[in-house]
Amino acid sequence: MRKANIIISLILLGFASFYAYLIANLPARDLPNTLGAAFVPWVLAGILAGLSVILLIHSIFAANGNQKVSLPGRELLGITFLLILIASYIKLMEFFGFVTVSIVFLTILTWLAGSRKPVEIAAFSVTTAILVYLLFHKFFQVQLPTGIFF
Amino acid sequence: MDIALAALFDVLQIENILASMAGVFFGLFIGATPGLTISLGMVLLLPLTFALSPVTAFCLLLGLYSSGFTGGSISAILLNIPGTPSAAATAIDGHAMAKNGRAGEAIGTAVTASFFGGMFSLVCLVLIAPTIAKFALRFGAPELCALVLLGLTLICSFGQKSIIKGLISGVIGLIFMTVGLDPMVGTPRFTFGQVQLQAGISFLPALIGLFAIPQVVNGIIAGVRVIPTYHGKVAGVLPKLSNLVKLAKSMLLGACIGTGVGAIPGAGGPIAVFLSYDYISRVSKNKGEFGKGTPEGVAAPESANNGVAGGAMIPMLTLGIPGDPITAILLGALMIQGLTPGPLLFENNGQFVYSVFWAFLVANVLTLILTFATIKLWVRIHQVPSRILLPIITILCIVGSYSLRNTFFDTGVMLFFGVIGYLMNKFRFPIVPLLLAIILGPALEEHLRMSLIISQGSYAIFFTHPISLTFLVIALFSFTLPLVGPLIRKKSAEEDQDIIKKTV
Amino acid sequence: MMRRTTISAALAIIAALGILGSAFAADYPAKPVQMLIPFGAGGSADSMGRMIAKTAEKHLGQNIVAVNKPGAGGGIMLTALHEAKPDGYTIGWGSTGILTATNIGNVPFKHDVFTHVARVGFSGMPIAVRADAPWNSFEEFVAYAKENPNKIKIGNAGTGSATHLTPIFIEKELGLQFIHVPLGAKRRVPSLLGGEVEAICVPLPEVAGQVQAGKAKVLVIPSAERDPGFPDVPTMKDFGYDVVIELFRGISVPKGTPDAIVAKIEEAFKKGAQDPEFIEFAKKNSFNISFMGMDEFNNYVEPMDTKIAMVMEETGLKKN
Repeated sequence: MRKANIIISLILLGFASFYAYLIANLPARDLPNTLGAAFVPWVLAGILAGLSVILLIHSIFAANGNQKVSLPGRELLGITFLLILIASYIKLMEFFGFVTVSIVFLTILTWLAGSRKPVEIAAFSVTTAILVYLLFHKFFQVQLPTGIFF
Repeated sequence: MDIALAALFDVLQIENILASMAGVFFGLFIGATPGLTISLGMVLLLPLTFALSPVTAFCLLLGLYSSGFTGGSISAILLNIPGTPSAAATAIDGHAMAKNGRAGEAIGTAVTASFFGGMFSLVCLVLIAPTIAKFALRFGAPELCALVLLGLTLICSFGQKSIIKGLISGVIGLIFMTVGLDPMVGTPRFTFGQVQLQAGISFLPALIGLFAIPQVVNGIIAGVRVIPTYHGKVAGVLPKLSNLVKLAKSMLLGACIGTGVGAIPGAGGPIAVFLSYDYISRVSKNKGEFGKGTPEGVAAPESANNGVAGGAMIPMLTLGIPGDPITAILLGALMIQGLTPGPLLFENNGQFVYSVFWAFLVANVLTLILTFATIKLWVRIHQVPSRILLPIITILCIVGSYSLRNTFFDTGVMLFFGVIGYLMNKFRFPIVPLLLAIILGPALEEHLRMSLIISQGSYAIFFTHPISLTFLVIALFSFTLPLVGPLIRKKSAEEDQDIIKKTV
Repeated sequence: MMRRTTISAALAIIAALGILGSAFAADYPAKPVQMLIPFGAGGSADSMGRMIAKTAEKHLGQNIVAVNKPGAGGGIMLTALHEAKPDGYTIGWGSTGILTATNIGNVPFKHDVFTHVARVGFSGMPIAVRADAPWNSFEEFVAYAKENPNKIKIGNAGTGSATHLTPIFIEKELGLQFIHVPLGAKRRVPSLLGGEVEAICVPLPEVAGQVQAGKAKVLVIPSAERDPGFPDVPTMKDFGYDVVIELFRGISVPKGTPDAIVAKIEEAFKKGAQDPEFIEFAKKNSFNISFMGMDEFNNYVEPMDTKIAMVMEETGLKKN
């Protein structure tokens, strides 16, 4: 936990400096008699930097507790994969259409979530995709991409 | 009195009861589905109301309005995914109760408290609406700024084990909310040239991401169950009378805060919900139980939730000013029906206003009955295997966040906050402060700077307005108590932990 | 596997042909038309838009689906419309905001990337004060403002919005000085009634109810002609000032949309605006139906745009 906190406070300090850099480059265009567009961001950047320093000092001097916190590579890989999966789902949807891509997406997800029965996966993916499409697109009038298929 | 009775008779017509029931069903469903909002539901129903009589139309819409919040709590309790932003406070203790196998009791409490809050606000609406409306109009920019600041001080109370981490979480939330067009001048800030970012970060996708994505990731990667399983009967669906008496204080507090804040145009429901959760956790006898699953922690925010509904109708019916976005749509429905909203509504259409009161009453009663009748069904959702539930949740989150503004950009926002939420859970940063900051952040800056324009640059405006001064004093106490409290009472270390800890 | 690829390839070709085909004006409209609305659900822009969509679709022969794209003072919707294919299946429900949002410089294009197809009508944008305000006429208000520069606070929907520019036009024409408070659309009326500001500039529908109830009064409506709902309220022209600013609402499409398709849309909305249902709705909402076809509409928009651009330049609102 101690090591993690030290790294986190350093990352946060970096983030605060990056934010401060962005604030410094904000265009000036302000109304008279009130605080400018940069005021609140500056205050926030200051508070974040201050808190990160406190966390840093606190962690350096804190006893190394027996709580272990880590982000194993397997989990990191898992999240990254999930994000890529969802991103490609959205990208492909615009081209092929919601229902088609959703069936594939749901198949992969159901398999990942532990289902191993092909019939179950297929039946579930197809019905869910069609139901969600009918519900949102037809009933709620949400314009889902229909692409070249559906 | 005659018109009141005539209005009751009107509302009790079979088609009106049916409309109300349809609205309630629809509302429960909409509320429980992440991404589907009550506003969206109302807009979809609006075209239907063209053809209906005004009373039938309002039975339908008010049914949706009063049950939508309840639906939001059901998913908050069972899945830890608040279906509406206002249900975020309910998720804290409600989901903890579900984990302890008390999901039925949690929903039962939520529904009862909602009913109480709704009824309380209705009584206020009928009896003292003009007084409340007059008071609500005194809320200008400095008053709203102070109220929001008060809301933000709750960050400290939700700081879990480490106050520093709680504060960091809050500040990061505030920083995210500075993205977009500057609220006063319209300068793009931190948008990196993206027009999409100019609209700022919408909090619904962020909310869905923060709560739902960690569930999905944990479920898929680590095989953690989304819904806590428990065996045995669904106990305690109907709350016992003795329990209800114990909860009376929570429900009354929630109802008062909800109705009051709801009546202030532009204040917003989530503040009311979090304020009432925080205050009940301070005045309650068993402070240590909050966060671990206490019915009080469900009753107060739920009662506030539906209090907001009746509260927001106060300025709508008395002044013709909507109290929140949903009542804005109700006003639109009034106009479609050819009724002119505004101060004259009561004089010109007295019987219709009474019908609105009755319709709200009927909607609350129906929500109560229908939810109780279906609790066992809802609770059984835990029997659905994760391998089915996880994909459903995922796709609903993606489509739900898309549907708010019809753009996948919001889905990206949802994923971004999902990753943040996951990392924060991992490294023990509390999420509720971030959530509070996201909900309240933009309003704070806007009202701060607006106050100064109105006062021509003088900060005295915050202290010369009595309401604003009162809030600032309360905010000061509420900010310093969790920080200083443990230092003053130098008792055993364990007790200190209990005071600070309101686990999320 | 091979066969499936062949089938899907064939399907793809058929579908692609379908898409190409649908671009031909003769088939238009072959599928539902999306109408982008620059605000969220519930406001007067939204309800008006959904109403005209409902009456116009009868004449278009396809559903018109309202899609809310709120944010950035209309910038989000305008960007989406600009990026949409010019095939007539994405149309925009625009307003004066189309000119203010493009001129303030937050989006990298001007209003001329759109073809303005049809103006449905407009609302007046009065200066409203509380009923108990000491001014009973616009002259008294002006006289007070002349003696007390930087004293009167006027609320608007946001810096650079049409309700901000209207008081600026008045300031410039009459040599006055107000304090402009960007209250936002939600808080305008409560702030006026609560006494936080002395006056507001607001679309007429939002304040009409308060006026009828004797809570507020409108001093001037700077439209081209007197408002039929408020015949006693003068225009700026009545005082001899050249200030005409109206909140128009109409349909715009991305430039490059085929003429034949544009004509179909124009026709559908023209008929939609004459629908009794829409007429009744508009009357109740202080919206003046006054249809303009494409040419007339463009002639109407152009000088207004020049004027707005000029004022934004002068007051330093324009981003460089």
